[in-house]
Amino acid sequence: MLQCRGLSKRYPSQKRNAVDMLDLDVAGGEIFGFLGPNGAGKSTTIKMIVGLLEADSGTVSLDGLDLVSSPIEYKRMIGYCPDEPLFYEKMTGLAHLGFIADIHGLDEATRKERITTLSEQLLLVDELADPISTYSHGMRQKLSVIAALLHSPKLLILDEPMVGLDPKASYNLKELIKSYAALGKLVFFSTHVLEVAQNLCTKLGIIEEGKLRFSGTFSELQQMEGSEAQSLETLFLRLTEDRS
Amino acid sequence: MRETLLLLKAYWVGIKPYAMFLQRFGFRSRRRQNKVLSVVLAALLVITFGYFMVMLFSNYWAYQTLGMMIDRPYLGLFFAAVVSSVATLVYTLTSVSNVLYQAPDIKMLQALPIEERTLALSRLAILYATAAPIYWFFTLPAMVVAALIGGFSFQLFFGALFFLVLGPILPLSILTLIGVAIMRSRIFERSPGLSKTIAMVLFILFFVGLSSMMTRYLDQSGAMAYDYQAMIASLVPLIEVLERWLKPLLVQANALLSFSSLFWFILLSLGVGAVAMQVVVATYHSTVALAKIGGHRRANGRRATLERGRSPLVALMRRELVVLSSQNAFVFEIVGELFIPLILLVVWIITGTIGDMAALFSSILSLDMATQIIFVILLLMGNFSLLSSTSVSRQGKYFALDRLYPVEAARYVQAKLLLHLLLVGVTNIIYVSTALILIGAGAKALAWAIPLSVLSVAVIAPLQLAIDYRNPNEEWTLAQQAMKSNLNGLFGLVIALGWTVICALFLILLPLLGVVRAPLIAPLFIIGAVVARWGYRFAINQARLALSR
Repeated sequence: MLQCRGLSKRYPSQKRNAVDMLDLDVAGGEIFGFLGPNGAGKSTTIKMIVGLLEADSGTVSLDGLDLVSSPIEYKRMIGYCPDEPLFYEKMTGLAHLGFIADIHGLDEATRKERITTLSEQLLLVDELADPISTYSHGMRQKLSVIAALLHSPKLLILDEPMVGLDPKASYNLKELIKSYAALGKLVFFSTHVLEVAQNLCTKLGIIEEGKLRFSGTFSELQQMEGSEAQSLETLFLRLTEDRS
Repeated sequence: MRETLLLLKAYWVGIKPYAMFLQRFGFRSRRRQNKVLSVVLAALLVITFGYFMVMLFSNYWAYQTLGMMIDRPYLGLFFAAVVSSVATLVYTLTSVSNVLYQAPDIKMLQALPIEERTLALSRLAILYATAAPIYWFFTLPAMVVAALIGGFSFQLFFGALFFLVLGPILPLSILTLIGVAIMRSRIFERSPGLSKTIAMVLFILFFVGLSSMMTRYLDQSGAMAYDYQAMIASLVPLIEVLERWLKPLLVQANALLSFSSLFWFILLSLGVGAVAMQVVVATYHSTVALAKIGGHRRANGRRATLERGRSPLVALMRRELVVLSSQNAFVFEIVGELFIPLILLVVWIITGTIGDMAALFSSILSLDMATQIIFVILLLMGNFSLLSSTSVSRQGKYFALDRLYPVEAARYVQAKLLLHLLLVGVTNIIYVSTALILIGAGAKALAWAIPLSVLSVAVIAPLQLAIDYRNPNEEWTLAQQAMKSNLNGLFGLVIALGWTVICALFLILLPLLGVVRAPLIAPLFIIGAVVARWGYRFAINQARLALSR
């Protein structure tokens, strides 16, 4: 279970909190879609959850392990795929995956098996021998997803994972996310593609101006807004426009 | 033209190279200790700057005076043209491909409706704007000397003006053409850093040779007086060779003395500049494309093979090497630092000063403290390194990745220090043991010198690393901002110097002054061990803070 309690963050140049007293629960087996307009606080929240950004106040924990007091154990349980993945450009894709496997202490057989399976699933097999500097945006995205999944993390966090993926790879990733959640793992991802969120996520969170406006299933959102036939896109726009 | 200037201005406003350098001093820090440190460092830099200026001025004065004696009234200016050109070449060599083809903003600019020609010209303008101040620093004292010795005239004024404005064009054009050739050659494909490193080492040899010439003819009185008889005896043949080989610089020097030379200098500079400009413009698109993929390399289609697994510590050490080799500027710095003693040896041989050095060393060897003196000299040379003091900064924006990995701060510190020990410690052991064996120091000397050289690395490197963890430069755009122009490197050198002074005190000065009867080797080991232990913990603490920020 991922738990965020009273999470707040304000950047020095800003007048209001980028994230303001955010409470969040994501249970095992759930695919949590994190939605919000630009500048709503999605990326800031994600960065605080993965430990890239220090929260001004509040706590983040995964299965009872606190990010601040047990950062290493916590980080062992997460896999993170950022919206703009960073790589050592001169490394080959395979060398990068080898490095990540070394960091997580994966044994020979496991790393080989996972790299083979994941690269085949995400259609990035032959290119792994090439330097990352020659990769397209989509290939980088795929490599980032493989690296995030390599150690079978308890919590998989994906920030805009579909951007740049070709239709086949995008489909494969969605299937992979579903099968991953079916294993009882947590998948937390942010997206602007509301159709994907509606079809893929078992739970949604909508953030606006740093505050969590809604957290629950799609049908709960429909019930809350009193319009059960409406799409997520319509409900999202109504919810965020009503407030602003 | 307007667009080119616009792009130059955008680069300057966007990168703020000088403002960024000054920012690293930390004058804005609220802590009093930091402010004091900033002021001390700024004062040190000003003193160094002033010292260089005085040395340049006195050398140009000596050469200009010598020129008057041997019917070469341009000699000081010729010397200035050579020194400035070489300095510009050395300073810019590692950054030329970065500025012209690999800077991150190029990708963004290529997407804008800007003509390729304009973009290429703007990069050349940026190259000129960043390199010209270095050229002027080495040239200006010669202008003042020429005016003081020869008297002020309009010829001198116009000549000096063109000397300053057009002077950087020749070295920069040569460098640009070399840069284009390297970027487009198969050498770049096979080993992106090797060709540049070789070229750079050659330039360094030349540069260090020149600087050794600057002090070689100083009178023994130490009052900046020159031994002109010795200079005439040994320099004239060398000057004749240089004049034959460096004709364009001879014309440039004479531009301050005759209008015909000024005319030819302008023509030559503009001509060479136009050729370099044309080559860059004509090949810009394809060279930028090659730079993006790191050479002519294509996807090789071969099946990938996975390397065997390693411990996180070894993986992090290998990662350090990847970061180190990611930029030519980094590779060059480290290679240069690791091989300083060898480079100096080659320079002494090339410049004919090896005889003087041999005489100096034989006088040292006749002293009782010879072993200790040689050890301290090698200690200073061996630890004159930016390896650890810019280690975190070299990672730049990639440092954020370290905050994601499930790795203890101590492990990162260990990986960086072990690599330092492997690179610097091993070369130090080789230099120290070779030198001590060559001078016939016994096994007893080796028994303390080798462990002490290793301990010295263990003392210096953690403190240097702690400095960089305390205030890493994660925002650099050009590689030299992370290493060569990084103030943390300077702090690190001060630490290395401080430890060398302590060693000199315990091993040489105190026995020499009669305070103690023999070198204080055991206390030095104890102090070293205590400082190394404290420094290691300090580095881990700083790393922990940096990783949690």
